[in-house]
Amino acid sequence: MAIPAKVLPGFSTSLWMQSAATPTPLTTANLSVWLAQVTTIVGTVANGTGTVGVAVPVEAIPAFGMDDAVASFSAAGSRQSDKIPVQAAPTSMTITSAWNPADPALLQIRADAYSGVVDRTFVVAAVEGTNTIAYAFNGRVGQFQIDAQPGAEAKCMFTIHPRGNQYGWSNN
Amino acid sequence: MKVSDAIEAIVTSYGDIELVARGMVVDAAELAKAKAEPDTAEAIALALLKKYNMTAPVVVIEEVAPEVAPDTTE
Repeated sequence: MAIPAKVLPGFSTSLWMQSAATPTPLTTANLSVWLAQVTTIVGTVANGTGTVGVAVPVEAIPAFGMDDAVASFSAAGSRQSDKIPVQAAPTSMTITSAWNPADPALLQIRADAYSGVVDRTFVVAAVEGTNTIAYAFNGRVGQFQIDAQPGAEAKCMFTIHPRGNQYGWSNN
Repeated sequence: MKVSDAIEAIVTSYGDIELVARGMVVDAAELAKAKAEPDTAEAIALALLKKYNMTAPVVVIEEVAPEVAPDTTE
């Protein structure tokens, strides 16, 4: 699943997710398929809305990808040791949003967090003009907190834990 | 294993599809003829199967009988 060889100068990113309460996440192979798969979540046009998707109103897209995990080995007398990559977990995405108790995406994420076992396909869409590059992954929502301090707007924080190996890149 | 069955298994998998494809043995001749529409899950599965089912073309070496020197009686 190669990353599309396309540079997007001045692109914007957005987060999308399947909107159903109990969705059927895309299979691993379909996470890399734009037509009729990822496009049903992010829409056929840049920043559109797919038939089974909804935008998540996030303040910023956090880092995503894979965390590092290495094992070090050394031989007596050797100046340097080996650092061998071993099984690494995908990066959990902790996201902050303005808390809107009427937003369907945030309410669904809150319900997922209380359940803990709902697998859902999320898509990070990088958009420049009419070009869209999508990073789709399956994940479960962990923590969900509402921070309603009187000195600032109410925020909600939640964490998406991606499932291992279930990701794919696609583009339009 | 049939190529169509292998593709179906990969397309419907929620696991590491590289690992799934690596463990499948399919007929090389059938795999060479198989085709799929681009930008489909089937095309991704087929590419993975071809990646892990590389087979060298079979080279047939004909055995040539050594030349036997004709019997001469001189």
